Amino acid sequence: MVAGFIPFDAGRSAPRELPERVFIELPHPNISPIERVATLVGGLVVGIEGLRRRDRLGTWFALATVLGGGFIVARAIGGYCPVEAYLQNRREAEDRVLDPHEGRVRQFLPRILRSISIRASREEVLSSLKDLPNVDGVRFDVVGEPSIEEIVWRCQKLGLYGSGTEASAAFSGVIRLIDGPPNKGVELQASIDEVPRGLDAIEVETVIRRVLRSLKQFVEAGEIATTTGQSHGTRKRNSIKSHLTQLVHKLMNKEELRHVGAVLERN
Amino acid sequence: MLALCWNGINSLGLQRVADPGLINPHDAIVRVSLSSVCGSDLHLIDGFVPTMRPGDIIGHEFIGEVVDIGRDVRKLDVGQRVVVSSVIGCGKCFHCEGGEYSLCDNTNPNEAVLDKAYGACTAGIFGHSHAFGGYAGSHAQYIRVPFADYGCTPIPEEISDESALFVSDAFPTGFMAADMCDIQPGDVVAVWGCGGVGQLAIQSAFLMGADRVIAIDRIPERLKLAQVHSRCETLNYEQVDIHEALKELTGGRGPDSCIDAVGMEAEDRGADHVYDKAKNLFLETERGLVLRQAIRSCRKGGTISIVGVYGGLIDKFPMGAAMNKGLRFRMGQMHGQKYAPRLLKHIAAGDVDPSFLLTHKLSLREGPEGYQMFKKKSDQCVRVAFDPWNEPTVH
Repeated sequence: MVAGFIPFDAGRSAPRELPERVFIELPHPNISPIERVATLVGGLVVGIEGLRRRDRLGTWFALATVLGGGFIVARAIGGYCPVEAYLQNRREAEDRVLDPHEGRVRQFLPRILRSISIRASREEVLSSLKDLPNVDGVRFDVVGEPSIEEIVWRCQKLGLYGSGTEASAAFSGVIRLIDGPPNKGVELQASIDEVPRGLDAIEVETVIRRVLRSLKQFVEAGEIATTTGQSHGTRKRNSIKSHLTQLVHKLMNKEELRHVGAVLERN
Repeated sequence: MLALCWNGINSLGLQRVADPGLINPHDAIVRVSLSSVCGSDLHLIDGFVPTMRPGDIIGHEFIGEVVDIGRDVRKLDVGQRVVVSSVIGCGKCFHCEGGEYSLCDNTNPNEAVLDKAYGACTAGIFGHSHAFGGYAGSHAQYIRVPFADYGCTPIPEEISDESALFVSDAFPTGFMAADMCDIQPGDVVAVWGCGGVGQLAIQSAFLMGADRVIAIDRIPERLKLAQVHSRCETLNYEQVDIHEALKELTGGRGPDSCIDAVGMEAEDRGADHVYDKAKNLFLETERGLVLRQAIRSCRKGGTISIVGVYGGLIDKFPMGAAMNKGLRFRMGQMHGQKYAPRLLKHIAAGDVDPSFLLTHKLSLREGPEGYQMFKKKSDQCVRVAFDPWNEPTVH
């Protein structure tokens, strides 16, 4: 036997291959090198001017100018602009409505996959499916008769994430059920096999994750955790302003500065 | 009902809010009789935890009386006096069944936040930001307790409210800190922080057979409290070099176990503290002074047990020392449901009485002042508890 080789033990879980999955891409640079240099210079100028003219501009406007300059510098250094990405996504979304098999959608085909472990048997998971309540505007239906190997599902999301509209989107797929290692329950792998109209991959994955997690909570704990409808005090709208004010106060805390000075002097 | 709400950084206020009702079948409604401040509340108030919303009711350490139960609650009755664990566990998932209630898979409704930040979602916690579920806290007259069969532990008649209160959070946290050290006879344990959790970690270490415990803090009253109630040795970090002193007190070995009962807002008077405060502005969220001292001081092959709360990123972490000294790290939010029955037995037997921590009992209206007193450690304050029904002037 080769040294270091561990023979397969029939009692152990069999080794697996990574299931087919198209991973969501991380943000990549979307502005050109020339634009980055120009942006860097521009951002520095704006930031420095905000600092230099803070008396004339007033505290809040000067702070906003410095933050704006900082954002532009960060855009130049990172090479990624979220505004540009948003506009690009919108352009692609328009194309996608015309033809769902073209444009950006193609990179997420043929399937998006998400897994979750549920501490129950396959039969318990199947028997809970019919009572699973709709959560967060997601309607989840099983298509046909589910088996202990595979569940064909269809899902409808009402009110798309971040869309601010009442539009809905439907998509369908398959959930595969696999026995986990001992004491770990059953593993569910959800995949999507239809192109969702009007949704992008992150939205689809969010919906799938929400459905799987709801199912896990429902099967394991007997209910879906929520805080909707609980008591709370007045929700103020100006929390960002409040945070900024507190941050400025914190930065200008004279006691802290005095302490820092004393320590520096001592060391 | 009346409730103490978070309105912004360093801003708390008493508000009249709707009474809580049963939402899910495993819920109970508890009439709060005492609700304590906790060091981790200060992280919320100081703005170190970014997912707070104005109007959130804070507080997570409390006892009370069950006044209503959901249709699937099996182990509780209306009228029972209970202590409620600050972390919420479903009791059924892989982690809860293993006694790791604070790692529960199912009780945090906002799983996406922690999944993004930490790579996995942990349990919901009462009054502890929306990242940890956004559950309403206990500084109120009533509170909804999800999964009440697991979260509520009935209090034996012979135990007073003041003694039972800290079984909700501080006592199991201190007990778990000592438990994670796997203390052997003859062990020397060092405990950083002599607040509520630290004091009870000291007593728990003795309960588990530690030969000596060395407590570290800078507040003379707290060090004296540790000496008087726990008969331990003490070190004031403003007066001695902690590393040198611990070596001296342990024959050059260092403590067998080091407990961090301080967490992210550690303080000192040296250059390290200035370094951390400067980096706090943009580059890190935690001040890791205690961890650095503990790693440096712990004996080779010893254990670092962390129960002081950390939330984000830490800098200047001495990984080289930790690795080459072969240290063992244990940490986590406490698993209150697992420890509560055992701790109540210890209290009933007279082994420990945590009520010595309760130095001030105030009304909810006095909440902001109570937190200031707790934060500044003024008036020899160790813990403030609010009695939500002591509000004679409110209409």
